[in-house]
Amino acid sequence: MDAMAEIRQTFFEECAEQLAELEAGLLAIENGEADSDTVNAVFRAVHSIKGGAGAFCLDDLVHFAHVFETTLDEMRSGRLDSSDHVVKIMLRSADALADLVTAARDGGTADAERSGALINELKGLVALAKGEEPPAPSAGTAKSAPASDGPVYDDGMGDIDFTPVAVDLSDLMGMGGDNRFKIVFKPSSRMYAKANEANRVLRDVYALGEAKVVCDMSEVPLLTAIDPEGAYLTFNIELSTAESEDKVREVFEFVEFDSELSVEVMEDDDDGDDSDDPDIADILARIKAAPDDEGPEEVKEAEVEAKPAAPAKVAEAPAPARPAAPSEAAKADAGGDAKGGAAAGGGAAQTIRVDLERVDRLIDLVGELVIHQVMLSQRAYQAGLARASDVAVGFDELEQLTREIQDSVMAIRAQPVKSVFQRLPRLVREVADISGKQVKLVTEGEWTEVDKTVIERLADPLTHMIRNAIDHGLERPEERLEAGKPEEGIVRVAAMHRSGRIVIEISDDGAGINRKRVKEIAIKKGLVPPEANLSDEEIDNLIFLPGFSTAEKISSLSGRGVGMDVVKRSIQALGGRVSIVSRPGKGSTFTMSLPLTLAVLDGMIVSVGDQTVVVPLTAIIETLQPKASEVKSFGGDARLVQVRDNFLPLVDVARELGYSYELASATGGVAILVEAENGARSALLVDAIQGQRQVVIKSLEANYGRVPGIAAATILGDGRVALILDVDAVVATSRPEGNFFNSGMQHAAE
Amino acid sequence: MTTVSPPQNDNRNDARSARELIAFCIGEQEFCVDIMSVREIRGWTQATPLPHAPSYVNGVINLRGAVLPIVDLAARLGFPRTVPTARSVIIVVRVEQQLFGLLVDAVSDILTITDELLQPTPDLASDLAKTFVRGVMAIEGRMISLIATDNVLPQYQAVA
Repeated sequence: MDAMAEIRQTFFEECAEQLAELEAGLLAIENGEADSDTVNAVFRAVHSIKGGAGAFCLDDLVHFAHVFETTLDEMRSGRLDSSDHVVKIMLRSADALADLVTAARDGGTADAERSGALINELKGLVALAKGEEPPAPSAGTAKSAPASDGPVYDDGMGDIDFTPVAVDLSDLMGMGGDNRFKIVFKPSSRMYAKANEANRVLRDVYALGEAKVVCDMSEVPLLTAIDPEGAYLTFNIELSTAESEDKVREVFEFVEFDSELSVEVMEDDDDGDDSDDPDIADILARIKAAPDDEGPEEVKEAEVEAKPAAPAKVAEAPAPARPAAPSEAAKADAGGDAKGGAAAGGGAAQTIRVDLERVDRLIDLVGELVIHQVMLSQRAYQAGLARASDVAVGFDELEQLTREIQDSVMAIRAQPVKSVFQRLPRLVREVADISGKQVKLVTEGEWTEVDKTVIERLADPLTHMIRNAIDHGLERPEERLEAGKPEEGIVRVAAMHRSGRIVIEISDDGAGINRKRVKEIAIKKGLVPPEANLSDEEIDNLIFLPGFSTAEKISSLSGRGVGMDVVKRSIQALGGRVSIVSRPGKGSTFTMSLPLTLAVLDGMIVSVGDQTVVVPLTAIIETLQPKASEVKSFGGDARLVQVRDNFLPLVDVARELGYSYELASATGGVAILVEAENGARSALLVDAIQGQRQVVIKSLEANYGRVPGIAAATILGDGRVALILDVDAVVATSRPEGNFFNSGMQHAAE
Repeated sequence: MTTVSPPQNDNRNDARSARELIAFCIGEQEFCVDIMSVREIRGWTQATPLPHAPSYVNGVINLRGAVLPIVDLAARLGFPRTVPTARSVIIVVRVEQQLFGLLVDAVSDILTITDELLQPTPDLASDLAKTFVRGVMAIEGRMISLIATDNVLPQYQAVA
């Protein structure tokens, strides 16, 4: 049971990867960046989802994937043009496929009507492709024929295009060598029964040097006589390598006794017979052109120059559902990357799946290690250890080592933002459909890395901002034409690292913010006084106010009460900021900046009363020691401190946190100038500054709950818990009457 | 309870009614908690006070990297606050997913009791005590109150 659940889990994880690849491929086709490899990769993605789904009896999924695959096959064989119309249908099919996968995983049901409609559209495309060309007895049509009869379960063999292929990866592998071997490798069914795969062995052969593999399929019986578990293929390999015969034999070590194997040293003679290998497409054309019954015979010994698709075919013959590695190779090859050869040849996994909990545990432990290391050396010095002693040197080295371990461990969690960006094209399509606008999404910097905790919480605000950009930012097509812009609007999402933070920009080329309207609405809703004189920037920022929504009618996209204020708050909760720049007629750019990780924070360690408190460095502008003459009483307990020409409210931190009831003397302490997320400045009064360091953030909420004025906790070098100040909250509670608008005005006055 | 029940049932009853408790002292009084909820027992370390916390919360300490709130059980039950000394003890308990420490004066005993020994909380007890005391028992002439740990921590609304 558990094993089955695990396999199922793996299947769905792989599905997610396949779906991502499918979508990436289709988008490449849409942008005209595709070649035959892309089409093949797309086809394989759908094919392996179908294969896996069949194993789990997910009928709906199999059926849909089958029809989809059939259509893709038409495209692959060049009978179906990858026109915009076709690709749009395929993109929608990819979305539907993703829904079906989700439904199958969570036990729900997908929108059957939609997938039904898409099935018809896909079939229409197949018919179109066939209509243009007389039906040919090719593998593609053979498969598509039964599609109309509902779900089709092949035994796996029906899907194997028995195209004898010679695989020559020499252009990928580069090096050939001096020794030439002729290897005949005939796996028996015993070998497959032991879960060995001819493909892997062949990949290892490729890794040795220049290899040419010809698959001899003369022994394959007719389908009626075939033993599904039988082995009928013989691989004739010509290998030229720098390695010795022993090395070559080593490759076959594990399969030697379950196969017929002969390795012969070849004389160094001609090697020119591969000069005019026909293209795979030609071969396929020949198969199609050949009459039905003669086909397999005629092409039996045909040799084909290796396309990345070819090894995939070989791979699928013995074990139809093993797509990951070949598609990996295909991808790398498409990029013209020589590393692709290594990936294909070595077949070694370069990534591993690790349970996130294990990583987190490791991070916790390393955090502990760092703390204990600091404590240990502190105590050793307190006990009289000489700074110049060998032991002290050892402590220094240990400290460096532990810091390095900590950095490396944190790096494990860093992930490219690609995983979030991947979901965007679909979102954009859906929003564009509903709003009736034409949108092109451009993403940049998708490999920018950021901690997993940030990634997980990035998706929601990003989704809202993109919806907003399409729904409010972009004009309708006719309005765009009027304004002299192309019908299709552009939404650009770019991620980049900037001064230790990740910055994500969401820009549109729409109309920009209608400042007049925004101000009218803000006045109407009582968010600003009617007589307020606001700068353009201030008006732009009004859209972040709670209760502000410019949508004139409530559509299914906006007007759900989830406005930009929620977006802003969720970004602030991550320790981030968001700002907007808008140019009328040219579009708007939202910029959000987030910390790279939520696990550590740069902080200033300060003393407040007899406690130690951490103030996040990002909030701090400067520190100063106020003179008595600079501190003015402002009625009651309120005090202002003069900083150059400005008067800023002085917040007594000890009092705000309830550590003391007395108003601290301002002159003995240090004033830390901070800027809250809304730009308002204040001065925090603390007793002394101890230093500045990176601290590991620990949750208070896990075991206790939220504490007003406190963002989180951390553990200092002495092993004690210190609290991390929530600057915004402390400043806000010290001024209950303060609100965004006041602070905005004050900011403007500066 | 003279009904004859199948042996299987009997075993289950035994397992349920016999349980182990950890007894501890607060001043002159003895209390106990179910051993199943106790994760560890450790000595007192100085806690970092939390702002705006109820008076019975001493603060938080570092428990091998986790931030552990400490509740002064005496204060929670309405007695005068404990003045922690080096000999004070923190009993680390788990309630659902939360871990927290109970500050007590000393751990005195491990008891194995059956449910029959447990008597309902007398009506004399204050409302506060009744909230946390699930019952009392007499063992070797001592009166020991069983503390329910569920509501000891102040309840906060889940963070939105």
